[in-house]
Amino acid sequence: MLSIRRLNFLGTITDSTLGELESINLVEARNVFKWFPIKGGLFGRTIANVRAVDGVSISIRKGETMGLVGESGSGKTTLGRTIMRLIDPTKGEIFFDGVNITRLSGRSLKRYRRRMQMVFQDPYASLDPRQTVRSALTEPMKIHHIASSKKEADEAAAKLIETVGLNQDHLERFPHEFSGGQRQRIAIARALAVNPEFVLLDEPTSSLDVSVQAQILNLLKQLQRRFNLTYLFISHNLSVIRHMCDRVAVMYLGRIVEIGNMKAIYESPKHPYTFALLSAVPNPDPTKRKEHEPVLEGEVPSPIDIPSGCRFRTRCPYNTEKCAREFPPLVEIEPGHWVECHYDIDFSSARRSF
Amino acid sequence: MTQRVEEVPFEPRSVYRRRSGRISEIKYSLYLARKNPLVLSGSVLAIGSILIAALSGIIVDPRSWAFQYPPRYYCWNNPWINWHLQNIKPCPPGTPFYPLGADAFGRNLLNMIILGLPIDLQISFSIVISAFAIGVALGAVAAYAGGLIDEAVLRITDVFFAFPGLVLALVLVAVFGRNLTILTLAVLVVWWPLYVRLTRSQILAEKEKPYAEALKAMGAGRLRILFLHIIPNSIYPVIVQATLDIGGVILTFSSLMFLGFAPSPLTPELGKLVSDGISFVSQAPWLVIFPGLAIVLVALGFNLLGDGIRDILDPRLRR
Amino acid sequence: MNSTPQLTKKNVALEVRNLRVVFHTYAGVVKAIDGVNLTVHSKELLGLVGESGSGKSVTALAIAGLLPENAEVLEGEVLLRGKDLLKQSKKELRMARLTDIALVFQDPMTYLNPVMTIGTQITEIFTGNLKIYKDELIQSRLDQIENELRQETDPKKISKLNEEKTKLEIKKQNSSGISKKEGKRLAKLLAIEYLKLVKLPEPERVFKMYPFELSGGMRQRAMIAMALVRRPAVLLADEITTALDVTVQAQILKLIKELRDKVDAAIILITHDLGIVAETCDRVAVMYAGNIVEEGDVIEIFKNPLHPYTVGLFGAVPRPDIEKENLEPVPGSVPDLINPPSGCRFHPRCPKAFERCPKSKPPLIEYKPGHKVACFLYGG
Repeated sequence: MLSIRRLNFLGTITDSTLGELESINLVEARNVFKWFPIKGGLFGRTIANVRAVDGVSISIRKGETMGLVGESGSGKTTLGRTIMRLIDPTKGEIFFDGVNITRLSGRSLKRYRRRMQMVFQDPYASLDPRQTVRSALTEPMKIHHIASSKKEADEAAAKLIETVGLNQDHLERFPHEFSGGQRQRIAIARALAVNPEFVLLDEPTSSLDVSVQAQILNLLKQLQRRFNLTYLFISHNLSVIRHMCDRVAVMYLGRIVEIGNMKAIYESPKHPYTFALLSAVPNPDPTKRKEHEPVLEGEVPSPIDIPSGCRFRTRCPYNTEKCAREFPPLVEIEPGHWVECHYDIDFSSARRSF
Repeated sequence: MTQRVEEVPFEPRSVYRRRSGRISEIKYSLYLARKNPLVLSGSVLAIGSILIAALSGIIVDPRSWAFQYPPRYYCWNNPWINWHLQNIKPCPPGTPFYPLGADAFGRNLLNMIILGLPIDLQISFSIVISAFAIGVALGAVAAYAGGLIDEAVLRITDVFFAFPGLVLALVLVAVFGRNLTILTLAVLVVWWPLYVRLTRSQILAEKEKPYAEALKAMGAGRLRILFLHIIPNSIYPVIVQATLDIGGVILTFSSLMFLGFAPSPLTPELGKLVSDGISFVSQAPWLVIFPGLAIVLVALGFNLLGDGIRDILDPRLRR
Repeated sequence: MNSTPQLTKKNVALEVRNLRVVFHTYAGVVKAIDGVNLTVHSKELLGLVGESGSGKSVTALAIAGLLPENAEVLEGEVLLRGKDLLKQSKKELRMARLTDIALVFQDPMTYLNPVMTIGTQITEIFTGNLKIYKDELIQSRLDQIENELRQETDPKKISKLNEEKTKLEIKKQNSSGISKKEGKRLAKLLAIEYLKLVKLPEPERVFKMYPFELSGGMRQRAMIAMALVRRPAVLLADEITTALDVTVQAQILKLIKELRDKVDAAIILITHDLGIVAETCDRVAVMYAGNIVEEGDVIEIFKNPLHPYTVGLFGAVPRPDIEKENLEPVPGSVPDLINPPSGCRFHPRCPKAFERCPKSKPPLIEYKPGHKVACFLYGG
């Protein structure tokens, strides 16, 4: 059993040198755009674009957990679906294990589908309501011809269901007979049925209760160690991201505004949005209550009509004229810690005067 | 490895689903059906009418629909028969040989209704089943292919939706003559587009559900997702519609018959019986009431059954 | 730090005594709430926290008299202004719901009428019941005039306001009702005042907008305004920020905290998020499987949780500020409430259970002032 997982030392490797370390990146998205056209008028012309993902580069290293955090409308789920090749990017490329899979389809894509699996937010909706658990677990094996006989598939399903902490009696039941946490365990088991290397976790615990969430998070960590998995963990919950991830990317309106090691992001955020997001999280410690701290005003603007220059400027308390004029550069503020902002703001004093 | 996966001791719904799986699903459906008296009466009516139709040849003499000549002496007075024979007495319901009375041709009304049922049900079932088959096939293709094919199928259904059923029936009858098959086709032509639309919308809705995407992410092919997952999940509302339509088609078809499209004046079709009786409605209302009642009961039975199936299959009850 | 309001007997807004609610379902009788005791005071923010199936929402629905048809209240009292709501007739209950209890739900879009403007939906409460609200409408307008007079310097406007004041005072004395038009005008002014109170930008414009034109956060603010405009004694807020983004959630929570000081209502904040409770509430009641297992001052409970379930709940929450190596959740899941465990409903999952636990139900006792717990480990 492989148990080495945390490749934290890689956090010191900068993106510029990553080109030479191709094999270390299991999944990579290069300058990915995903625009959804809005058709209108008499001839169905494109009148506008929803710029859900607007130029994102991200690389996920073997064995790590990359966190992708953002509010609704930030494009984090669209980015995840693009990486999974569930939707085609408008522009940009996706690499899996060094191979460009952007243009693959049919049988050649299916080979990669086996190596990358996904767990969805709503476990009930992501399971076919008419399928028993056994059939849900053996179906991916059938699709990828993993089990040679029905008996072998059944044995594998029995093993899987125990791996995720349920028992074999559950195999004959239907999804609606389970609680939310159990359903998510089934969805995880189904994702693991084909021995994937990479698992995209799209808000896997946000519909669950706190103690069930903790059970699932523990299970995910345990499975990662056991099967040497690489995770992309999408969530809006910053506490969960902190608990799960080695590196974190913060998305706002279709772009990654800050990316870096978990510790660096949480302890010294450099982008005003990351800072605002962190200070908005309710802390389960009433002695650290934020009594008079001002909160970020307004809501995320529409991804159809993105502000000029820096897209966060409309809500940013530090916004200047330059922000409206110029697109902010992507700066490497520390090794492996990239920020898309014109300024280097010191938030240690801001905590009081924000 | 220090962590362990916690056992889960309680499952909220396991109490009544201990031997779970398909059998308990069916049991649960039957429970829901029993709980609803309307469903129960609907299924009694529907199954009863099917049984009577199936056994009609045994219950009554299959030739009794034919014109009885010379008319029986206690038959109801009718001017046409009068022309041949004087002194025919009216024959209201309640007499031992004629529990529902006799019609203008001296035929036993009860026998006529029993013989009329299989004709109506056969026609109705053949129309609904063909419409269902065409609808599911075309609807699935349209929804899943999308784009131009979808557009083409939709426009074709639009054309057929625009057909006035009555006029179509008139034209067909004028061209091909009075014939039950022709009339069945006429109704089918205006009936199937509904199923295409319904199936298409169901599949479109189902296609967007996360489980379809989950299957895609898993590597399942399009056909596998469509045939093994999406169609089985979206077919229930179409089945409900079909059950409801059996009653609807009977009503439509008997209306056509009532309007005088009947192939032979003696066809024991329920609508035709009403139409025959209507000229004597003031003197002998039972000639209209009983065949009419039979139509209502059969249609009502299938409607209630359809509603019941919808309630039972309702996902909100299912969860 | 907030000082908790004076907890004297006088300003009790709502008292729930030994409430027991069951649901009749196909599977059997669900014992959803099993003896809940709860007291809320005016100007107090009480957090009702628990996982799904703990009965926190059912408690709220029972208080508001909105339980579904298959629910049955076995026993208990819901005392509001000295009257037991559960024993009242339908009409009286409807009145209480109109005037004394207000609810705000998780998803405002389902509770707002999509084809009516926000303004109509707020003023409808008053214009539909002009007789009941006559005095209140006039009084609130008089208060508004007082306020405006204090700030106004323009003599023309002052005389105008004074004129309106005298007119209204005559109407107030008059026993006959006010005209529909007048009622509408007063209701609109009141609605705009409350839209301002919940910090909606340009309240006059929002008044004329339809729900779909507002963003999620604004809709929730409108819902809160709609709830508060009736000046309820109790505001039940059921998971109001669950559907919102973190930054918008922070805005709404800030608003709730501010409103606590501005309105007289007792606010019951129902949530599953311990962070929200720690951030906003004065007191917290932790529910598990239809019982309140621990109740008390927020700071006390978070610093010194006693009940094993509360301890487990805290152990399961990942923290935004501290890195926890492992989460330690309570093993297992919520019990089946058709056949709930005997005695203490938590005992099958409890790491500290002993022989007494399955035998009898621990009462909620005062372990120390301002901290109640229902566990045999601490007496009872």
